[in-house]
Amino acid sequence: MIEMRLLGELHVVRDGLAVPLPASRKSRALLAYLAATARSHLRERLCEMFWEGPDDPRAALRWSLTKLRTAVDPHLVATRNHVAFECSDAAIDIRGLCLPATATTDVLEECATRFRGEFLESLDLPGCFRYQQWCVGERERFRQAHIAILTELTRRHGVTEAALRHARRRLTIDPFNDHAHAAVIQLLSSLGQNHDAMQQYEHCRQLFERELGTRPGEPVEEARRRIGRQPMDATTPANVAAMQPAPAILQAGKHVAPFVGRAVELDAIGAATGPTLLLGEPGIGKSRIIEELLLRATGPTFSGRAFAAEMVRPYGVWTDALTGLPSESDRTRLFDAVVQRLKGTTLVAIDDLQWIDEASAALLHYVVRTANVRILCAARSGEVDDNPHARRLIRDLRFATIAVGPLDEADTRALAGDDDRVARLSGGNPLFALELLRSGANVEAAPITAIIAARLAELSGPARELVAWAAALGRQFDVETVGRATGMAAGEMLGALEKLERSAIIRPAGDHAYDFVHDLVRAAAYQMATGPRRTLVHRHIARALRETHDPDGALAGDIVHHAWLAGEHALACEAAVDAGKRCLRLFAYAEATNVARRGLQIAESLSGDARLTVEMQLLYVIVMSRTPVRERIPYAGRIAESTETARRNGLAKTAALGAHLLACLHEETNDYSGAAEATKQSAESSRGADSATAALSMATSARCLLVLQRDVSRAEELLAQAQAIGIPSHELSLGLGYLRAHQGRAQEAAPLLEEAFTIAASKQDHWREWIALTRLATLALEQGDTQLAMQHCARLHPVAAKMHGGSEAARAAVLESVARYAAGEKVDIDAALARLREIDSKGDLAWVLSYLAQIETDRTRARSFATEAVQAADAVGRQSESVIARIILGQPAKASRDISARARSFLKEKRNGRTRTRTIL
Amino acid sequence: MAALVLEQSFETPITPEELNDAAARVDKCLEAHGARWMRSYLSLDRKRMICEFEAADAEAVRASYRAAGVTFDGCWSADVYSRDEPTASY
Repeated sequence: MIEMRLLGELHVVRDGLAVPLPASRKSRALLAYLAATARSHLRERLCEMFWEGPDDPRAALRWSLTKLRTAVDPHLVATRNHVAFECSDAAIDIRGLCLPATATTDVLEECATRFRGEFLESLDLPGCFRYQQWCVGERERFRQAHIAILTELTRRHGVTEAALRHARRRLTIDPFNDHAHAAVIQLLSSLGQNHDAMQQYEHCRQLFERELGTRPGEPVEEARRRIGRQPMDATTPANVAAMQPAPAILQAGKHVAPFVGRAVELDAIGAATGPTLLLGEPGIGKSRIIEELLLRATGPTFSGRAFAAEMVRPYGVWTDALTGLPSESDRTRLFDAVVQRLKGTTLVAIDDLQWIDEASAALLHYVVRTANVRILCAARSGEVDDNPHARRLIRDLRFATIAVGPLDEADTRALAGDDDRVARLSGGNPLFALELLRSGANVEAAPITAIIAARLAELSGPARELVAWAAALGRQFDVETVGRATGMAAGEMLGALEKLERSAIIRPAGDHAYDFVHDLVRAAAYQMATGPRRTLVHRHIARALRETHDPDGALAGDIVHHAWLAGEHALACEAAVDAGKRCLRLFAYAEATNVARRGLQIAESLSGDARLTVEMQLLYVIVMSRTPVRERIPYAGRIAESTETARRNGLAKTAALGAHLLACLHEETNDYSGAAEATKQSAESSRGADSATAALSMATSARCLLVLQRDVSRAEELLAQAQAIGIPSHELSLGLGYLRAHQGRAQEAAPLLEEAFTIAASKQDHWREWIALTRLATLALEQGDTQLAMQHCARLHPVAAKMHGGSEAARAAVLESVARYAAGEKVDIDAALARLREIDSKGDLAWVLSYLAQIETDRTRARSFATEAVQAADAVGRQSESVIARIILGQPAKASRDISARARSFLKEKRNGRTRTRTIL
Repeated sequence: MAALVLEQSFETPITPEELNDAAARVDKCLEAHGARWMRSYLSLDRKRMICEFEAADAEAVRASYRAAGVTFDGCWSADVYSRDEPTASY
């Protein structure tokens, strides 16, 4: 018989024994989802729910099912298309929860004991939106069921300690309910504990004032008035005990636990030559080994830690290394700047690698390969498999993996101060041992999370209040932000922080921040606030962060997280746009896409024009991220639909942005007709919208088409649209110059090409300088101005000299030879042609040969030039040169819409029976 | 179609992300120029690379790299000899 416990942390029990579950959160969440829903699911839907993204979702699902099968066989039923959890022979705690009104008291008590915590406690997957939404909804449903059961039990037990226990429990999960507070106050008062009743009222009043900005409602006031009619009892022994501060286990100021044992691990680390990874379960001491090695290092060190996935923090691991770096033009330069900064560092230590983000992983990859520095990382075994970036790093960089296991008995005893009980209960897990020590005597065998939770439960007053806020902020938290979010007075807050520090719950991390001693402690502290209180905490944090001066948008990712959990969907979406744009600036494209996708999911809760506007901004982030185009193209439908709606609703700017995004996508997939259509739409509705990028990409496409002599009419249209946007650029001038030259409007073409050259030179864009100058030179030759052509050729050489690896120098020399030859100078033109053939530049060859065929006085040579020109032009599809050369040869030549005005005039003359001098051979 | 070879070298080892990024940009231009990437050889130290293409001429490949802003050391047309066709060429 298998038993599934979903209320509280997920547990599977078979024949009375706990079944070990996969360390992978996603695998555990999948099992919980299958068991809770108790129906068959399409594999495809499960993939969408848990593995949406670029990796192979079906393979990930197969892997997870394999891991789960060993734990819950034979309940897991997987066919080719469906997966289900067969529940008929399994006991699942959420099944058969009683109806409070009709159940007997015994049944109600039994149901109440099933709630060991909130539904699927700690099993959040903020990156999997669909799962998370389902989980949050179910959590609330079961919270309400729990409240109903506890309320009924409180009522049935009358004025008894049992009733008070249930009432207090209800209060922890329903802290903003007047009736819940009133029930506790009344019971305390009725039981003669008037001092406690008054304290409870005071606590309620402060809570409501600080967190809701209101006073408690009438039921609470009524309960208070009733206390006033009874004598106060402030000095019972129990009440005095409750007011004592919790004992501090560690000495104040001693933030780091003693380092014991680990000789084997240290030897293995010392022996490793490449990057090294410490793998082990949470609390086993990986971070402590890293801390020790950082302390022992003889030179400068760098340490960083990855953040849990729910926070969008690109380069989260490298925050300190990136601070103050100037903005760079590409990712490699940014990485180089970091490597430069790490120069001289002897050890780079990265903790919690299982949470590393794509950008941090890419940078770590780069650092490992380029910087001569020792790399030491640590990760939770099992969980690391959930993170594709971490998996890839470990595989690609061939990390030497060192398993960190439990301390042996002697070392555990050394850590536990020879306390046999602690040594035995902890099983060699150092965090467990320390937590047992801090909890004091009389602690029974329990999971480490329960030990930590019990210790936190002993906190009282402002320290208890503060710890939940700090935990919601994250592993490391800034004192100022906590202060702003809680609204606590400075003195009160400092006292609370000091108490938490003395209790070894937090420790200082820099001048203005604190750090939880371990993430398990933070997670337990976070669980202290449930339901509506947690929502409120996140809301205040989101607002406090929004009001923080943050010109770079570094906090936007955190705001998304808090605002979303607070149900502040508009703020979350707005922050998602900011976070996405910041990721784009930092070339963190995977994070940009992730946060934008998350924003799009949240935006579904919005409505009207606000939703349309924010959605388009989020789609902008997705389209502009340089992830493979196949991952972005599926958004085209949504963009088109939103663009249309925006247009109908008169949202010109949003519609223009949508059309621009479509143009970018079509262009990337070489769907020029789609691009032309979209850009046309963009230009129609863009006036005033930010379309610099659109204009640039349109001009680039247009010039490309003109050089290739393909779809010239489309190029013309693209350029017209780019011009309509009205943002000048060298690419636009270049495209227009090419177009005018193609149209035979040389007088207009030349200044445009000169303009393009000047702007390109100012931007050090040598490639476009080169294009502009070569077209100026060939244009001059076509116009018969050989002197001008030679002047342009002279300008080509220094540009070509700046371009490494290509054929530009050779082509410049050939063009100059052609100009001199045309000017009547004695030039070895055959050698120049041989050079062009050698570098295999058929487009140039076609133009040069067709030009030489026109000016050559020796008919045989001219014919030979023209023959080869046809071959070269046909090979690369240069229709104009092919037409000109064929006419020179007297061969049939077809007009097409894409040939140049010059080729057209050759055709016209031939049709009219006239011939150019020397041309018809 | 001719066989084209393009040589590249990198001062620091090229990362997979950079490689993918450059390939994505170049591919777009290659297609516009009617050129086709065949295969690449990346040295184990990731500092040298040779890419093989099929295109109408070498300039199609050079222009694609230039337009994409990707640097290279040289690009040349080649005859191909292989185990299967030791005397054959494209």
